[in-house]
Amino acid sequence: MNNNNIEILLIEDNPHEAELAIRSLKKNNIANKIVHIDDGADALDYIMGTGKYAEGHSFNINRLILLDLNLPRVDGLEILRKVKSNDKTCMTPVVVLTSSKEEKDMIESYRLGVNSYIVKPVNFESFSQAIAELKIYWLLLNQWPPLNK
Amino acid sequence: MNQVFDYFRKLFSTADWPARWHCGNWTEFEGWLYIISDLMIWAAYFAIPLIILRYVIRKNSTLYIRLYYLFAAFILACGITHFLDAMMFWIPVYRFNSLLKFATAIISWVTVIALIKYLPSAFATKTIPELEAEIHRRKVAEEALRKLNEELEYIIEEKTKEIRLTEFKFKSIIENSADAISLMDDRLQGIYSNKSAYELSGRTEAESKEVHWSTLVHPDDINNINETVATAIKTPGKQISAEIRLLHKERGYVHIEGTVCNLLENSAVHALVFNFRDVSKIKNAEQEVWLLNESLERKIAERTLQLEAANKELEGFSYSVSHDLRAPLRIINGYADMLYADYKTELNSEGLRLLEIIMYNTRHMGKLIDALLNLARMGRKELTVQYADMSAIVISTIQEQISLQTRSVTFDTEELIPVNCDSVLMRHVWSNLISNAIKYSSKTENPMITIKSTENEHEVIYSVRDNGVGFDMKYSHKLFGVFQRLHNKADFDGTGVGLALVQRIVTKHGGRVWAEGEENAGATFYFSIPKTIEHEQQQY
Repeated sequence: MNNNNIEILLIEDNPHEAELAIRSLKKNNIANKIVHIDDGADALDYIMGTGKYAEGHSFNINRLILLDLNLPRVDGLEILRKVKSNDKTCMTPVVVLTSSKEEKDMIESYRLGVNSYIVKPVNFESFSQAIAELKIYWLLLNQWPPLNK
Repeated sequence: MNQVFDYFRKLFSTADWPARWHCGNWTEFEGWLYIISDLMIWAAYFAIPLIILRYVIRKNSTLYIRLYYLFAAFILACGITHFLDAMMFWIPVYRFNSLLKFATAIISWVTVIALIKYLPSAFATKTIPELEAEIHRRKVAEEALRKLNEELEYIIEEKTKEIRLTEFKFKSIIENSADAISLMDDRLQGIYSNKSAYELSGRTEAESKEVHWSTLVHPDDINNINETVATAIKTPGKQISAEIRLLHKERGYVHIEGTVCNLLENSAVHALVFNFRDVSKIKNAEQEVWLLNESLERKIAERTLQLEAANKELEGFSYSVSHDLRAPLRIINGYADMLYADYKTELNSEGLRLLEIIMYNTRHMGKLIDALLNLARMGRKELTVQYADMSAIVISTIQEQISLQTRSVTFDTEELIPVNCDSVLMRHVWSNLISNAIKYSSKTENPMITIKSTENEHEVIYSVRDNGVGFDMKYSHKLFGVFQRLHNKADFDGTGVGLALVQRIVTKHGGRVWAEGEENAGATFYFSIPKTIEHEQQQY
């Protein structure tokens, strides 16, 4: 399986944050398909194949979700809860990428089964480093056994 | 027997003897002297009993009355014998004469016997001089007695006056006592009450008589006063205290306080003595103080709540500010970075300089925000107090700080007194103080940092001394304020949050922070940690 087959779903409402994240990913030579959705409800539809994404949907197991917590309509923690409580999506790795240093957000995220929790540093270089660490998940993904249906 | 019989048969017979004139040779003179003498004796002897009789009748209650009668009979009988002796000169009734003499003899002996019998009491009977002497003595004695009586009466009068005065004095004192004094019998019926006692319930004496005092006692206090009275009755002479409410005619229930004393056995008092006073003013004052305290406490609690809420709000605010500020800052920083990375060749040196200033300041603002965030987080963190080896913490902090330095710094540390505290937070304190000391002595020739500890009864005091630039003591109050800096940013970089964080952590432990310094002569920072950290202080 090629790492590049893995789709990265970036759920981030701030377009500038999104641009920085995407640039950072690219700078780190991550050439994967990046899908950016800027709305919580839309993102859930995309993952679950509901609403406008209902047609021709299949649950993509080769996916990494980069999740901001502060989102319009449906917030990040709600998306995390839905993803981790659904049999078809619970194995999808989710990385919370947020400005929030709030402990209770972090605790709640881990309680809901987040795979990693990254607090975005102000410094852009540090941010790039944090993105680089995400590469670990590519390796982890490669080692995962196929999902038993 | 025949002779006796003959004697009485011939009692008045004159046949056997001649009349006395014819017996012997009486001359006229001799005969008549005899006869007249006899008759005179008889007349006298007849008169004497009459006089005695008259005396007895007149005196009526004479002593020895029977003896007087006996004398009268005896004298009368003697008189009669003389009369018969005279009669013998003509009628010789010797037998009758002898019978009369015999009767006289009997009466005479009876009188003798009676006299013997009465003799002892007759001896006792005073003679007139004796009686007069007696009377005189008595008169003297009576006079003395009278005088004595007079004196006694005078004394009694005086004493009575005195007693009345004393009684009046005590009565006046009791009557005018500010305390209510009531005497009651063993059935709790009123015997006496002074003015104050009536004033206690606001009733006149007459009005008070219409109601029994016990009906004026507050229903909740009835048991109390009953118990007090019961105890008082059980322990005579002891003052048993009580505090009850009494229904005042106008003022409603008033608080009264006093004692009940059982003086029933006391012969002078013979009553239960109730001694009470109105303490409603004191009670009201107490109540007022209590209410004031209560409201003060409530206010304090309210204020504390408000303060806590304000603190929370402030923390939430500072948190969300720093949090929400971070995102745009990161974007500015990110885009500046992009600009620098992608377009630095297209910018001239001035453009690059401006861009670098933007980047430097966004980074600095990032640091400020992170520091502020840290401070807010410390404020919310609960203390985890445990034994902390301060020396170990300080040594590892020094090593950590030295590794960041290019210049050499001399540390003088002694064994530090251990204390119970939150060691994670304490590490922040030491880290800030030591890095400050290094920072502000960085321009000194031979930087020297001295770390010490002392203790007193309640707390351990730690100090960090440097020989750096120091500060002017007149600005010392600004040292621990957030974003307060005493030095130029160009000279000494910093966020102005470090000491505020130190203060917050130390205060959370219930300790104090202070500093001493002099410009260009170094500074010493002190903080104390109490030996017993109380739970309240942990709450901050």
